[in-house]
Amino acid sequence: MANYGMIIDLKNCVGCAGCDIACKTENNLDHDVHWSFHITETTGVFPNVGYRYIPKLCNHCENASCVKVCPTQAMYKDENGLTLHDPDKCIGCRSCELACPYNCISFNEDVQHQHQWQMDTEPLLEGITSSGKEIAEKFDNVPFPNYNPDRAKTYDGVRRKGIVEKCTLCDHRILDGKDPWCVVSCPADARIFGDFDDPKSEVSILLAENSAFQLLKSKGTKPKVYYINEF
Amino acid sequence: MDFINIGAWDIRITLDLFFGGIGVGAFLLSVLLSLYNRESLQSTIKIGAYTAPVSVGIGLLLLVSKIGVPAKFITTLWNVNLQSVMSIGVFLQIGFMVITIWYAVLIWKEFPVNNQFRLLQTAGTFFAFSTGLYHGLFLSSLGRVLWTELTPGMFIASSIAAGIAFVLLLKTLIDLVTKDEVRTDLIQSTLPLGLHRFQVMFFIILLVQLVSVILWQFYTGRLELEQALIYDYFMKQYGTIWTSLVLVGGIIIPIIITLVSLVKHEKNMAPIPTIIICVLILVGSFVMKHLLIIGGQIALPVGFVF
Ligand code: SF4
Ligand code: SF4
Repeated sequence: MANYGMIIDLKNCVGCAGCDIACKTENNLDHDVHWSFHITETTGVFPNVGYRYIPKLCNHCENASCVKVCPTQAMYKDENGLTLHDPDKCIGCRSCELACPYNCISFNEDVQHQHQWQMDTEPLLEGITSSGKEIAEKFDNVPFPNYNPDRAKTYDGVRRKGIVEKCTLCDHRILDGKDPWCVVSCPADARIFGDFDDPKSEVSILLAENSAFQLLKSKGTKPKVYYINEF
Repeated sequence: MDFINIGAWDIRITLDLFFGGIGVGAFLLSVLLSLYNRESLQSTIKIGAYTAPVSVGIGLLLLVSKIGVPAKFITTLWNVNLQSVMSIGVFLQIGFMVITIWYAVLIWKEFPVNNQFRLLQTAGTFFAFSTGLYHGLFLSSLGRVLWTELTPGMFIASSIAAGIAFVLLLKTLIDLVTKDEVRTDLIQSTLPLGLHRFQVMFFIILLVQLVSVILWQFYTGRLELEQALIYDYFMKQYGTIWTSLVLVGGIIIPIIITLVSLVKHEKNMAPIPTIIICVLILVGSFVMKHLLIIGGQIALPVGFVF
């Protein structure tokens, strides 16, 4: 039993969006689905301008509104404080999507990773490239070339049509004692993952030593992604 | 500022709430009228009784068609989340649907007057009010800025008015076609406060709706910054339609027409004003629900996070 969450050190973050890409490859996300994303904001008037780059992901809120509104308990809190989603129970009502104040839930209108180019029989360059169809046939029982089978340990490897999906904080990696892939991939060590219930964990220490903020704290969702060192 | 439209729900949700609302109003009207002078009011009671299950059924079908996996809708009956208003609402809607079907069948077959029938009416009335309230509560439970604590009041008043308007419109049109005398005062009934008269019913319900809409408009724009910004944007986009079709057309004009009729001590409202009122109320109810469904899905730009 733990209470997992994350600290994002904005002083270290260089705004490379590596975490966004890492998340997509680790979790087999289709091009229009983003579990890890970022917002940017320019403030002020020249010469007194400011720029903000804030990485965002599901906050795995303690008081998660998505869990409260879900009519089927498809969205639930696990024993480690993660907000997870059960595709078998999800009916695709999208209430959770509307209830999440952080826009962290995506809905799959279509089958994921199936695109028109996979049907194209014409090669892009005659005699030089393969056609989309030929490439698709080489997928060899996987939905797309860089499919990560590890993802399927705890969630659908590729999520189904008609239901929602969201960040699981890489629960399949946590299960093996590893950090989420966005944390490992960050070149600037800006993301720190850990157990907030363990006073000796790095996240607890950082939280105690720094003044931190959470996104939309006023919503009462008690987000467990904290930001430190805003500048 | 570039506002976001989450766009999770489309017109099918509006239609569910609209038809569900008509079902609620039609059923309540049928029960209310059956308490008095049931002989002379039989045709109106029957129209209300038959409208309710059809209307609620259409609404439910549209709702089911909107969810991502319609075949799994049935699982909401055993995967229950007591914290979720929708989860409870599924039972209310299905319960209401069953009761309205049962009620319609009884009225069609024999129109009994016994304790069992009264019990069914009482249970139906409970489910009708609960379903009517549920529509608004469901929205407000999602915590979106335009779906406030005042939404349930707006919705239930609008639903009851629309249900009565639908039944009255149908009755008036049938009477006109069959050349029957059009009687909208429901003859010599004796409900307290003159409640048997459509003018009075409309007047009271529309007044409640007017107060709830005005309170909603007054408070929504004045709470937090987020709410104020979204409300302003909503009004810039849809303010003209809202004011003309919901507020003036759907509530104020019908109130004035009914008031004039009441002041003149008219027993019967002429068919044309009756049809006008009913159409205006129905259009107002639909537009209100649809605009709120759209407006509730407006979000501030992603950058607005503090
Ligand atoms: S950020 Fe949104 S999706 Fe994640 S737990 Fe909180 S409310 Fe749910
Ligand atoms: S879309 Fe799925 S997870 Fe979200 S509230 Fe509906 S049933 Fe629950």
